[in-house]
Amino acid sequence: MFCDCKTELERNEYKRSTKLQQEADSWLKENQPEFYKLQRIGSYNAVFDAICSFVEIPQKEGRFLHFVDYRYLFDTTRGYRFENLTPDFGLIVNKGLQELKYPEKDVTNDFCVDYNKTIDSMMHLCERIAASRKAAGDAVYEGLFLNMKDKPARGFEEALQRILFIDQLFWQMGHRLVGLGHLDRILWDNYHKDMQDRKITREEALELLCDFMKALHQYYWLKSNVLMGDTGQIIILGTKNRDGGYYCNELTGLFIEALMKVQLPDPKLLLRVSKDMPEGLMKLSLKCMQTGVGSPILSNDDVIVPKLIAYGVDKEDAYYYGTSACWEPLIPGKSISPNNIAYLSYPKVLKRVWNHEDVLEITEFKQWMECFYQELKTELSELKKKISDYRLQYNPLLSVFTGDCYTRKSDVSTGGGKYHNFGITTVGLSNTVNALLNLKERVFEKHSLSLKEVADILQNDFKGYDKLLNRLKDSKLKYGMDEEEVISLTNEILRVSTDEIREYRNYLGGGLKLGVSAPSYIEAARDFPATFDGRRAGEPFGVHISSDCRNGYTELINFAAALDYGENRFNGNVVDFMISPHFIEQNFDKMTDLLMAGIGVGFFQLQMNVIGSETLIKAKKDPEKYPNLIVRVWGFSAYFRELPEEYQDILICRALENEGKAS
Amino acid sequence: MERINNLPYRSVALCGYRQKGRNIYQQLAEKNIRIPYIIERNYQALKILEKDLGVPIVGFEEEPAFYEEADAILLTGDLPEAVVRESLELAGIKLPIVSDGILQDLE
Repeated sequence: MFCDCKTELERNEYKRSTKLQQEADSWLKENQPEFYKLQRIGSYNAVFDAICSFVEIPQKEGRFLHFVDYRYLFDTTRGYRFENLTPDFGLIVNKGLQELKYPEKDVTNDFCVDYNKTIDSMMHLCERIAASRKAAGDAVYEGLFLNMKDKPARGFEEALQRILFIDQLFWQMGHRLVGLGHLDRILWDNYHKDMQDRKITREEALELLCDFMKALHQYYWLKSNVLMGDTGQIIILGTKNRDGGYYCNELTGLFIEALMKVQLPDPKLLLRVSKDMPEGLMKLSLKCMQTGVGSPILSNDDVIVPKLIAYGVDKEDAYYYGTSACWEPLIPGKSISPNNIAYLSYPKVLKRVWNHEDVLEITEFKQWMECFYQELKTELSELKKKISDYRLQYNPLLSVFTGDCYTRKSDVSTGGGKYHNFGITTVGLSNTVNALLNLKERVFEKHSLSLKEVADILQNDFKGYDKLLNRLKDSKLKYGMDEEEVISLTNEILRVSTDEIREYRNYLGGGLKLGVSAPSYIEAARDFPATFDGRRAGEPFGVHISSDCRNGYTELINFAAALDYGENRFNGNVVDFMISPHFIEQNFDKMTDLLMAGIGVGFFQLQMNVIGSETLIKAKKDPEKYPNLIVRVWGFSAYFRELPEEYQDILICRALENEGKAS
Repeated sequence: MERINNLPYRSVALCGYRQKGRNIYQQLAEKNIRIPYIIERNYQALKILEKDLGVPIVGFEEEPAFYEEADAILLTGDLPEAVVRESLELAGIKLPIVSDGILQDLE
């Protein structure tokens, strides 16, 4: 159209620089002045209806039709954008659009009117697409889109196409990081019936899923958020059952097989795991991870479900949890819970302590920690103030796919959802814990350094103190170790964090939760001074629950399992492994055993990069030779060649550390 | 605050009611400057506040006469100024527009 960029990466940069928006505005002013005016001054419904009327319907490129007309993207200045949420796609699979509407007698407020109008607009778009397919001589898809208007999906392919249709509307309406939910469950009835009726074979179903994933992968540049690959298109698979068993079906495995086959970084998979799950499914998942696609991430139901219930999530909902774009648990179709609205930097709290005018007079570690906790509370208090004006955007489209809005007759922005708990992430906990442990040992116990000396060393970024820097890095007690002192310090910091946000209530009455995984380990560290864990100024913070010492995978899992994820501390807590493909190849069964045992021990979530340093170094040097090399970045997978250099470097560095080759 | 003291209007509509808008609203209320309505792009979500504020929260779609109730529109800075100015123009709202920059000129 008006974007003449050659690569996906260039297109993404073009979008993020807002040039796309500017050019779309110019184009609309000239070619669609009425729409342009509506976009500026019209109501949500007027604009949505115009979008459904004006978007250009392309020809099918693959099996499915999935498109976003980026000339008509919804204006994003209407309120905070919706992101990190998962609509209930089951609704569109099991019902026709007409069936989702309020009967006339139940239209009792403005919201009901807007809700019904939204569905009418969607039906109008269905008709337009059907007409377009008819013109193309495609009677099957013509019928399929007409059927969506008032009947449930009639088969597996139709169900997949419906999900793609609704999904594209969310992207068109400016949503970011749109999750897909429990697709193995949602699609099961249609798949099972087609199989029973011999309408499809397993192989055909696999092909359909491959095509479905390819369709979702379209507009990769437009869907990618901060970095290429960060699209939030996460598919949830498997679940622990309320009766204690484990639910999976043929589709659970088929989705994993499909991803192995298409080898795309996006969409990504999350497998909910439990000690009751079949070992074969874990083996299949490990095989998939072994291919390097970075999926599935494992999410431990045995730990997470009880935490959700304890926090007040209804039992039935807790067993149906999914996650936001990366790892933050939510209830698909019920949670209107932006899970990543801000982040807390623990090293920033340390910096606050250093900035105290009487810091150098502290003589005991206990005193230091009292000061640290005080500053932690202040930091969180400021963060709460910062997010206090967060107001969601009026959004009847999302309300249609958020079940409780219908019964409450209320929009998602005004409390129509069931859960409204906002979430923050935290960064640099590992650096902070390590810095505190080093201070304790060297300043307050062994007295080998004074606080003044430490302050000077940090201010001078360890210049002239290379030996000390290396010693600090190799301390005998470190985050990630299965040691009582490390675990209790980490848990105490988490508990104090909880104390400060426990009473917080957002404008919808929801609480605030936190987790120890965050995407910001590079961004937050970029201009941050040196820290006493042996990190120089500007170097990245630690990644999620990982360790830069060469302790084993078992120890890291034990450490993660000993952390206290109670109360509101369940907003994503990911163990992040770097593993060489060679290691998995040689130890496949042992790795399977480790993961199965890890579930029992109690890790919260776990993801892994299966990649060797040699490949990464070569790929950085010669990206043309590795166009399809995929890596796992914070909570998503991406093409290595499309990552900014600092993200490439941290992966190389971690791979070298993992292989014991770090200098 | 100084700028608001110098406002030559007794009745001002706010355009933008987020963090900055809320602060300005309070300042205006303290100075007994009348706020006949608030214009917000996200007005449908914020309508729930109308009862507490006692002020209608509207979009850009009212009849032009409705907007005449105010002497001027004050842009709070919560929304991109160019976008909002254009919206006001497209909506046919002819009232004087007071933005942060113009407030400075008034001092």
